[in-house]
Amino acid sequence: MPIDDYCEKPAVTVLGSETVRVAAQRMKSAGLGSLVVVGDGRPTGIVTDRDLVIGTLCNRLDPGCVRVDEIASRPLVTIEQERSVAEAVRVIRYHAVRRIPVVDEKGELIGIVAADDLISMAASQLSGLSAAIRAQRPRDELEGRRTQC
Amino acid sequence: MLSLASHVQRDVVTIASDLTAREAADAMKARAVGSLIVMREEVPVGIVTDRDLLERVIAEGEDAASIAVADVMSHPLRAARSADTLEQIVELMAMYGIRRVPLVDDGVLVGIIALDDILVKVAQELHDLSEGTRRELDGAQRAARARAVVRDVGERIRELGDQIEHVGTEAKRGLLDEIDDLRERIRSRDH
Repeated sequence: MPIDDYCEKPAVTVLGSETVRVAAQRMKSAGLGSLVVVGDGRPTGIVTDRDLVIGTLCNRLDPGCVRVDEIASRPLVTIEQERSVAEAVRVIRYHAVRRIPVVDEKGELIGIVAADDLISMAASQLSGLSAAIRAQRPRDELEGRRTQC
Repeated sequence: MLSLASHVQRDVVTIASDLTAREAADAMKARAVGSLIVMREEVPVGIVTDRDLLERVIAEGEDAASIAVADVMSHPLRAARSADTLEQIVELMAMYGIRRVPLVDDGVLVGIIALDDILVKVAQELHDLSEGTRRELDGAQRAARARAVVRDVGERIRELGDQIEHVGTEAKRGLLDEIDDLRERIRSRDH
């Protein structure tokens, strides 16, 4: 399962030179919890709603003046599109992040993969599996097999 | 189903409704939480999240140092009671699209339940279950291997039996006794 099949495309971005207020407005209108920060078409960072709030309000900075690249978390962790879901899970776990930008072989931004999306995927696979187990049980009983769950 | 009590955080971070948005952000940072229950005279009246501060303060160009928490919080508070089941609480989360549900008994805040905490516990339980299944499979594989060894040994015993047809009666009896003993030991291991 390549991660390319499970990432959200395209990723919503913000320029590092744009202000925190612009980033907040974009997050609000897109209903997103994070934006990929770009410069020269390449991802340079990722910024979450919490980063913007804590980074400006707690530091007494004016969100209308502060640039996004002053707040964005670094270093940026990315994953290549052909990598597997299992590898994405390992990266998410190792770096304790919830979202990672997905890039092509040239390092150009393709999309973003979120831990929440992978959880939904796992849940729907689990639900499919449990439906299969439920469907199998009566058949086993019909055939007189002893099933122990 | 999973019990409710094991998912409840009893230590809830609160903030007075007349404090400012900036003070709310400071409290979220200091306590490493994403939400605060807003209190007015000891009564929980709303919830304010880091997301609320983003959408209602930063995006709107409000002054965080002067706008009150009461003006940016989400209310009415979507709360549950300690007597509710985990299913009811998950349903509440799904219905209102919320990730945290405070528990309020007779107007008193007693805890909070977060979707993330439930997920972590469910994942842990699933992991434990799968470990159990894996061990069972390993056990089954070991048993299968043991059966193969027993078959192999049985085969050799039969060959030995064929060979001893040609030796003297007394020696034969002694050997057969030994073979029987060997069979018996294998049978008891097989179970």
